[in-house]
This record gives sequence, C-alpha cells and structure tokens, in this order.
Amino acid sequence: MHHLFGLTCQDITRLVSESMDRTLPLTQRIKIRIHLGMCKYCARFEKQVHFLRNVCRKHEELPSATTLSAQARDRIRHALRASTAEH
Amino acid sequence: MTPHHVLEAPEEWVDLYGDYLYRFALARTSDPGRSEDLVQETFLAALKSRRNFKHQSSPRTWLTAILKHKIIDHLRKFKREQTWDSEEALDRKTDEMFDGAGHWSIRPRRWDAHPGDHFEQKEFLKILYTCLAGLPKRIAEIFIMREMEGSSTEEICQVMEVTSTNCWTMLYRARNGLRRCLQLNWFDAMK
Repeated sequence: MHHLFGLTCQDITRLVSESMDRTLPLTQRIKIRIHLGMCKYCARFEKQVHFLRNVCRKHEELPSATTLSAQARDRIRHALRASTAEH
Repeated sequence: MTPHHVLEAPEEWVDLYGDYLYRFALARTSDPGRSEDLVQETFLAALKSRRNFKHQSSPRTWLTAILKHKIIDHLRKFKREQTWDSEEALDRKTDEMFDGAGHWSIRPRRWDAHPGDHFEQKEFLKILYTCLAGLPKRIAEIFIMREMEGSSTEEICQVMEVTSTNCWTMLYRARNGLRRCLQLNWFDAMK
C-alpha cells in the first residue's frame, strides 16, 4: 500500500488513532476509509486499537463470588477509623 | 437532569464497596493479600480526597478510578525489566514499526485468540494491566483517563497540562505500545 493521497501507512495509523479522540474533517475520513479498504495491515491496526478500547471500557466487573475475608474487612475498617480520627 | 450522587460515610465503605473493589484488584493482580492492601490504600486515599468527590459519578466509579491507579503503581513496582520506561524509548518503539518511507516494517499480525470464557478474561486482564504498567507513567495515566474512564481529550489536556496535539500523540503511542505488548504476551502466546 503506497502513498495514496500522499498519506503513508504511518500517517494513516496516526489518523486512525486521532479519529478515536476527535472528529476529523470529512475529506480526511474518506481518505482513511479508502486506504483501509485497500491495506490489510492498516485495517488490522484499526481493528486492534478499537478492540483495545472496547476491552478497556467493558471489563469493569467480572462476576465472582469472591469476597474480602472477615479479617481483612476488620483490618481495613480499623485502618479507616484510625485515619478518620487523625483528620 | 444530571445525577447527583452522594458519598456515604467512610465507616460504610467497607460493607458497600469492599468486595467489589477487592474482586476488581484480584482480577488484575491475582494476589489476594496484595489486593486486600490495595483496597485499604484506596479507601485511605479516598478519605483524604473525599472533598474532590464529584457528584456526577457514583461513589463506586470514583473509588474504582482511585484503585486503578493504585494497581498500576503496584504492578510498576514489580516490573523491573521495563521495556518502555522512558517516553523516548516508547517513541522509538513506535517509530520502528515503520520504515523511513512510512511503510509497515513490523506488520500487525492477526488477533484470533480473543479472550473467551471467564477464566481467560481474568488472565487477559492481568496481562492488559501488566502491559499498562510497562508504559511510561504519564502515558499510562493519559490512556487510563481516555480509554478506561472515558474522559474527553479537553479534560485530559487540562488535568495533565499538555496541548491537544501532544495528547493525541501520547494516546497514539500508548495504543501502539499496548497493542504490541498484547500481541506478544497474549495473542502470540495463545497460539
């Protein structure tokens, strides 16, 4: 994939990333789309950075029955009380 | 109407949020003892800064944000052989993916092994957090604010005192660094 519209793969990856943080002008968006349609590595890059975003925003909570032990609970409560008294 | 959340009294925190935060830390560190300590540190830090609690987000979200930073700090301490300890090193790492003409020299490989079941997701999260801890601190912080907390770049620029162009560049480098770290430590390893 060569310099289509004067944009290299390096330029395209920068723009793909930037488009996740702000809205790019329409002409640039079109150039990116055309490049991605023709270049499988840049297309892969785009998929992967979007996957990264989704995985970061989605995995907030994992269902689990794990809980703090009674001892840990007491210890943390105690530390909090001690610290509250200080302030 | 914007939500108005109220932060409960500190003595209620352990019962209300303790288990949730503990699970959150455990999934990312796999270290029960350390996770208990991280929960405690989170509550203590929250106690100190509770005047900064913004009523638009829930107490749980607010506490989790504090915990995330604690986890990264913890992982950073245990990661001596850091690949990208300086921002310059990460810059070089990003640039070497392309040749002088801007073509790919290290091409992205396919990602087939998307984390499936519960166990795999836990393992994946651990690796994601370890990769995050390998990024230069400022870049990891900006990435967390943007991709985990969903802050706008305007907010990030204000808090971190960087220009928006700088911010976009740092996010680009963070995404690249994480992408390559996950490639090596998860996707290639799962083959």
